[in-house]
Amino acid sequence: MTSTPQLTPLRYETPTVTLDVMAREAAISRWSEMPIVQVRRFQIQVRSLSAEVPPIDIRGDRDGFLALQQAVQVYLQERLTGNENVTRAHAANAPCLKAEGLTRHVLHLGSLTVSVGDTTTVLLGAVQLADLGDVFEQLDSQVRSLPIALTPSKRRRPWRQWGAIAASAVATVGLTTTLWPTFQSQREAAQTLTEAPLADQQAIPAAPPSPERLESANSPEAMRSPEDEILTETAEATEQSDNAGASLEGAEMGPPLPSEATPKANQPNPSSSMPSSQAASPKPAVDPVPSEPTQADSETPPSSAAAPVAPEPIPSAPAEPAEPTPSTDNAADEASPEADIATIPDQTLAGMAQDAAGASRSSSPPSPSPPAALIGPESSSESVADTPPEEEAMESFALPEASVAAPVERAAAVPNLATLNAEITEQWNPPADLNRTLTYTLTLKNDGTLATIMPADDLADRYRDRAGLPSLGTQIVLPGGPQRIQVVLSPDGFVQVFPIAPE
Amino acid sequence: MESQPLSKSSTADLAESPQPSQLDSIKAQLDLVLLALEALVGLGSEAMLDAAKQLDLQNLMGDRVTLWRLRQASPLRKGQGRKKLDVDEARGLVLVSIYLTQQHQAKIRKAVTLLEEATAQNKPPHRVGLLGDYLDKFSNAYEERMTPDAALAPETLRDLALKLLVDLLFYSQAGGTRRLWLALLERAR
Repeated sequence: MTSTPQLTPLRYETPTVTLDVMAREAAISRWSEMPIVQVRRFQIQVRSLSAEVPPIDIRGDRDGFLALQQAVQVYLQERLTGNENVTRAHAANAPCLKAEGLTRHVLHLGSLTVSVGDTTTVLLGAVQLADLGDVFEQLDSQVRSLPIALTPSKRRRPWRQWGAIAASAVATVGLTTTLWPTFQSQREAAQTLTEAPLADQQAIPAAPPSPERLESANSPEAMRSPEDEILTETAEATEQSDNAGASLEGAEMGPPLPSEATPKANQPNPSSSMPSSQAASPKPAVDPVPSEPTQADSETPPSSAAAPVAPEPIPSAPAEPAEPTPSTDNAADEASPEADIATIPDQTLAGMAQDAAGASRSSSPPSPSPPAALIGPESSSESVADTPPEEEAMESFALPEASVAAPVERAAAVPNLATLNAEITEQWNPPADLNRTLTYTLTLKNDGTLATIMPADDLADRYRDRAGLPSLGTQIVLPGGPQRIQVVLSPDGFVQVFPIAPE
Repeated sequence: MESQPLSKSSTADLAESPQPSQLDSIKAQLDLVLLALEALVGLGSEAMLDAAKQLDLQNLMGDRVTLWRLRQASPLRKGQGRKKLDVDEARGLVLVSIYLTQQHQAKIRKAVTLLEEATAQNKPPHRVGLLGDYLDKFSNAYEERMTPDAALAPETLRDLALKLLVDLLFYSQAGGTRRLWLALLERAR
């Protein structure tokens, strides 16, 4: 929100006092629960209960308004406290009040002007004084007038917005990093199959990839402790998968990892960046991992796709995935914990990246080979190794040929989930009394528009209108994207969006 | 009903907590505010219990006995078995008091207007019907319920009653909860 040039009239009325304020809303209102206004000028009409006495209009500018408001509030509280006789120092031209008995109060106007005559004082009765205090209270209850303490209403909110933006960027990077090795390995595998069908068989014993990758991924400069735990889990999963699907990986591992693969090694794991307790929940994200059989790879011409897959879904995503990946990742990883702006988005980023990467796995079929510029030395052990062979088989079965025929669109649907996550995160303002997560299942039509929203329980149903979910008919993903999406809203403002594997 | 709804920020207005030593004074002041309200609008314990119910304060004052014990917490009161008032109970009494002042704002406003007019005309307040009734009820209730040590001269008692009447007007308006709570804390220092 930017400051609006026009003035906004505000009016507050009581039986004997009317306050008219011309105010300008301050740009900092976006940080506050209430609009923050700068009063430019004001007029207070004080009416007598007796019709014989004409009303008095008191006018002034911003300084006069603030001074009068403070004088009235302080005086009222002193009256109630019994300290009204305390002599209070005040500026020469500042308005002030003095008591004349129990029900009469003299308002010294100071620099304020009145509509009638040149009087410098206005006599107020108790009712008028109470009404005067009331209009100021009404104003205070609806807007905050500058100057005020510029404390954000919810410290988390601005970070959350930044976090959503940063999460989208990192999710894109993560997606790119996840897909890129896959493309590269596919290309290598295709080449291998074409040139030497038995070479991959020989590569199996020579490629103990997972421990190496995980060791590099666990390097202290790259990861924080929670992620260390996650990576450990990933290592176990990877090792299991290695045993089960060694023949598949053997073709993909390729050459040993260079040192620069270390930061990127974090990226293929965003789905496992969830807490360990949620290790099962990423299943939807893991399940749909395309099987990427070498057979399919061999069918894909290495140079068939001229455009990189990852940048295409999000136009704003960096077009050069190879370079930004380590730097962005490092930036996130090196964020010091004491820096709020880095910490909070980073938490969000983890979930966002996980969602995006999970979505990428679910929706990205065997893709055309990336252009030569995208082919890097690192392999995609995690992206494939996370998927048990039986799931891969299911994936091969579940993914129709039509979806394989449109890999770009499928991949393009993934970042839309990141965008959806960012949008919901921005909208989701958890109620103070909410202490449980809210889960919704979004069903999409074939064209990617939102068909239904199914709350998981009564609580979710109750908060559905406040959940910040898109309205029905909204385009969520591109055609061919996931059919069902799960949205989990946490009371702490954390939002998770991930596709649900087709049953 | 001419009342204004109790603002949601009411509880936030009571954020500052008194020291234990202040509670005795707070108990006495709160009891006097309620006494003035009783004298003016004639409300009884049923209205207070109803207000407590409306404010979801039944855990603090769910029945007459509990309410009576809370009122008896005032050190000015006669009788034994005085209950120690804790901060939550003090806050609850403040919320109930403000709720009731807002419920009866029109009558409070009328009484203060009459007081202004009487003052402007140099007319003794007790000569004005509503004010006279109020002063009588307040004086009687005070003398009946308060310990002899707290006895006041008739003029002082009248001034106290009128002061409390005007205070009720301020409490009945927006921000009344905060004003009453701050006044209680400040007076108790």
